[in-house]
Amino acid sequence: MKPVEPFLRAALKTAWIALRPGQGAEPLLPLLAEEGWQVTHCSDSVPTLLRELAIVPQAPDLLITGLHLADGDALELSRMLPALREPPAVFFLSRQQRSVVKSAKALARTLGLVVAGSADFPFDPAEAMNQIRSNVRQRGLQAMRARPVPPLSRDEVSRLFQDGGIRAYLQPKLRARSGEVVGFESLMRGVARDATVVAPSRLLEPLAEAGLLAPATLQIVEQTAEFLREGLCAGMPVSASVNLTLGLLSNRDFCHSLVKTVERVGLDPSWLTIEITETEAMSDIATVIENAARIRMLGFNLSIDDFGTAYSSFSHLMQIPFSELKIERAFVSGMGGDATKEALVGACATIGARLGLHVVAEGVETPSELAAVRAAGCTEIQGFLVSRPRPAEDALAWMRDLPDMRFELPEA
Amino acid sequence: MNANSPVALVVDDNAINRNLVMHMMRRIGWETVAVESGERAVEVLKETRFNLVLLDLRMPTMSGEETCRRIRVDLGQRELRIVAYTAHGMPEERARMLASGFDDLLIKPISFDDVRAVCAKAAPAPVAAQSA
Repeated sequence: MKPVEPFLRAALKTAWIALRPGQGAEPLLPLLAEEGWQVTHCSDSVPTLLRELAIVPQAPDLLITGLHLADGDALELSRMLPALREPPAVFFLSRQQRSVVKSAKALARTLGLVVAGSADFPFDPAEAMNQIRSNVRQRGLQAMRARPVPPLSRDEVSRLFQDGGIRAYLQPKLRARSGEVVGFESLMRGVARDATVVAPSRLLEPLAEAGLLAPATLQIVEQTAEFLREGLCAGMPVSASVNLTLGLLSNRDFCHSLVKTVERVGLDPSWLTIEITETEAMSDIATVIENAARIRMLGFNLSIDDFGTAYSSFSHLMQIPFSELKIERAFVSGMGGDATKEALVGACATIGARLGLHVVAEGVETPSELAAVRAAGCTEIQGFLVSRPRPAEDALAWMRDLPDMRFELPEA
Repeated sequence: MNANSPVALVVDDNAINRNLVMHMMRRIGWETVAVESGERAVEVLKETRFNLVLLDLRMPTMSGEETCRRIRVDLGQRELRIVAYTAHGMPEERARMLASGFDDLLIKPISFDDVRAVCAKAAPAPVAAQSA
């Protein structure tokens, strides 16, 4: 059993139970007490419970609730909780079918609540406690990170750009079966003068606002092409992918510069894959199709990123000559044992295989996820299980140190 | 050149690619000769015998397919193993390549195992030269 970190033990200790005595939460109580939780029974009526929550000086850290409450349900309750200054993490204990419980958890997450876990009767209290322990620990970390760092200002991002601070970080992509490194995804990071690293979430929007997204993306393309040249010339057969917004893909000048950049480095474009994500609306679909087809004609590969997350996935597959399909991490995360995720990833992999595409599972973090994406038929994997994105020099050194470019993947 | 090593002819207009393939082949104990066009490949093949030809499909003057045809028909070298290497891996393209005279395909992204497998079919594995 992992010890609870002391500062969290002090910070997180009150749990409210919105189930009446006899409704089945009892087996969990001694375990909670054993780990230092103060447990209180509260009302199981939604309005009363909300009133109680509003009155207390500090809301509990954890709320254990059924899905059906005395007058209302946990869905309604979830809707109201985010209004609290520090809403509790929620744990659902219920007799409902799993798909309903899953939706309740998805709703809570969507609303920004921490989901401590769920269990259906009869339940294993030790397993429930494991869920609470690991998710509540995460919550502690989240609380520490609670002050979100705002995006860079336009001036800051311009300075970063001028200082050459737009850097490609590379995350390896392996064959799912053999563990051979076959490529990398190139991700944009900002590296400030004091060496702090700026995440894309704080970078992309201000770059776009400052009119620098195209030149910054071209810098990533150039660094990625240089990285590949170095690897290939050292006898390591790797490809790499760069992310393009649809806006850039529908910009003729940009696409022209992209091709020129790769030519200048002397790289055969077939080592490069252009990943297009489909989260933005396609305003100019005709130009996107035109440029995508042209890029493919010139020898680049095309990848559909975050496949399955938008309504238009299938229609894009019909119109754009993709060579790779990447499965969004949300489908992969916690996939082992989740029948819905297994079915969805399996279906994506089947579509990919039928179309002769590479199928990459993103965000593989655990051996059980690895086993699940292998079983589903994904051909390649990427994720923290193998490596975080690294600066180009580190990525080259990492790869050079692998025997025969093979990474030893753990067994589930 | 080691007289016992099998020898491959690498045909690619891209210098980085030629470099890569030569590097990889050397690691698994092969000798290589590299040329930058299909025309050059046909000339070299008139003079020298090879165990294997690795042919890029996408070349500016004479395409890989045309080069393969000339080797088979004009030079009459029907037994020589010719492997196409390409970024195109669509199933129908694979069938077309095999029908147009290639023995095998190396599809990018490629790994050492792929190259090793293709080479093993052309000549029994020599002693590995050096490790990484």
